[in-house]
Amino acid sequence: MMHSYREAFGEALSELGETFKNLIVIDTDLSKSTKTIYFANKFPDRFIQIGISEQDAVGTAAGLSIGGRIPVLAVYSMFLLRAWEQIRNIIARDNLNVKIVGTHSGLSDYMDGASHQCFEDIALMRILPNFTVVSPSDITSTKSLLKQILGFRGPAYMRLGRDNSTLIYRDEDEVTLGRANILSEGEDITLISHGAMTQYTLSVAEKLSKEGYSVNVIDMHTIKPLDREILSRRKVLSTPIFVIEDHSIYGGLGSAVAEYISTSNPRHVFRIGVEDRFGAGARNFLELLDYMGLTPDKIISKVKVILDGI
Amino acid sequence: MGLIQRYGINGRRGVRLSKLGLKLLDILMEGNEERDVGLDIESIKRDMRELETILRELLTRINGFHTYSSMTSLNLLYSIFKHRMDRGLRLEDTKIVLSKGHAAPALYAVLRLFRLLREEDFIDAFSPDSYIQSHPIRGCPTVVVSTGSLGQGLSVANGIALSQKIGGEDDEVYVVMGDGELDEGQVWEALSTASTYNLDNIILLIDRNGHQLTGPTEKIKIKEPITERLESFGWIVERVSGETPENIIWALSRMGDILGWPKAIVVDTEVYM
Repeated sequence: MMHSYREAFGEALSELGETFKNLIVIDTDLSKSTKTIYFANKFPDRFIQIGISEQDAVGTAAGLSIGGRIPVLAVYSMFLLRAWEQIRNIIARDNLNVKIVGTHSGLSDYMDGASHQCFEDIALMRILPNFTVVSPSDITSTKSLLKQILGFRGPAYMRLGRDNSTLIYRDEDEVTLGRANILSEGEDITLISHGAMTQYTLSVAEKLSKEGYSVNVIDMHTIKPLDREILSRRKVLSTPIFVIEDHSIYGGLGSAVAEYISTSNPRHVFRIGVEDRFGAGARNFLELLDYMGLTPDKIISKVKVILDGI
Repeated sequence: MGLIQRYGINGRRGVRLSKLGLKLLDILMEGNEERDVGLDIESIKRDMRELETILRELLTRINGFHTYSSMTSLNLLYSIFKHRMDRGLRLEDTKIVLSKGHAAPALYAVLRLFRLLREEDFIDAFSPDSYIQSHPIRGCPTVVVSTGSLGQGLSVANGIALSQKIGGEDDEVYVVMGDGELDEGQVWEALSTASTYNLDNIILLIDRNGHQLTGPTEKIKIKEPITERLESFGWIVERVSGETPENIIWALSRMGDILGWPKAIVVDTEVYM
């Protein structure tokens, strides 16, 4: 069953506008797609339309935070990146309290094709000092993590898909910023994921367990700061580690995990994701997932090949 | 667009005259030939001499880094603080966005003159821990955002101005931009945002010194006619000579009274260097 990240985000933002009186939402002509339109309809005086000018929008958001507001800027991840230098030089450098949400990330925007499919955002945002980077795996944690990033002072980036979410957590489950969630425990293999690929990672784990493997599955929703504690546990370190994401294998969560493990407890970290290539248009999400080799079956084949090799 | 407009954001309410209305108002006030806002010319001359001394000393510390650019901005920056001082406004509350961040030494010289920076602050200037850097950083008095990368300041100023409108606050944000900087597309995005939101609490000063790093501005990318371009983007523009501060101070005075439009002062500084 598919749920929608952007619907969850739009609704949550609209609700949070009541608690966070200083919340201002900025749009670049995408509110109907990012669903910030719900907030706009409810709080028209707190919604600022900048039009198709991402660099200007980033600067304006910065100015609003300097003026004492809490700005939330929601743009397709891909087009946020044209304002990366502004995010870096104004928001990150001055450590401003701006929350940036990148929607339609990874493979979620199958229809718009390669120009819109962003596999670089985690790499480019986690490399910025002062930034918190989070990628919720389902609709419940989207709402919970959104509230948490609004609750602290500092720049933050949240990566969301589109309508390719699932339901993993119940409302009462704890999803805490900075602490990865263990979705299943095992002894043989560790699978780590974030965002839209987490549900498929769970499918991979299920299939592997049917074949007799005992699998750890970790939802590492917070990519920066990385949950080093969980990565230091014997249960994780005594198994081969696979990181699965709809992001480039260069610079994403896989790289972050590999960076940490290589200096703390060196062992194999295998990155499964988008392999140094662009996306493609497709007629539905699953067709694209299959084309890019990221369906549970294709992931399992890769995992088995690797396991045979080590 | 009617003759009278009200702008929609909560905050300072006022009557926004159309450009025709403003021109009529100008004609009515035209009797006042001398652009006299009660300035003590001699005192201004003394200030400028002192400023030049302070600036030259600062520039030697950074090997003359962007000398021309700082020199031409001196009058602009001085005028902002002099105008506010004459109006009885708190100088420490001045909000400066030095979008042409490389002219920072000019800002520091002006801050020193108006006692917002002291002698002691200059001892370790330009060292890693100092608030005085080659491009302005937050932490330095009146600097609301760290700059250095061109074309970005006006967007930030718009954000601050919008924030003030929402909160019903009533103060201006001064943006100082270079003419080379007008090459950056983001500048034009921000100009449009300001007029879309009728941000009359933005005062933009453009240091029209005719030069950028690789040569004269018009040889690099055409910027003229600057006044008409800005006006077509929905701004009220005054173009004045930058030879002495008086004209700039006059323009700042005049701009302060105009509601409902973002305002720009293009200062011709080229000829006078």
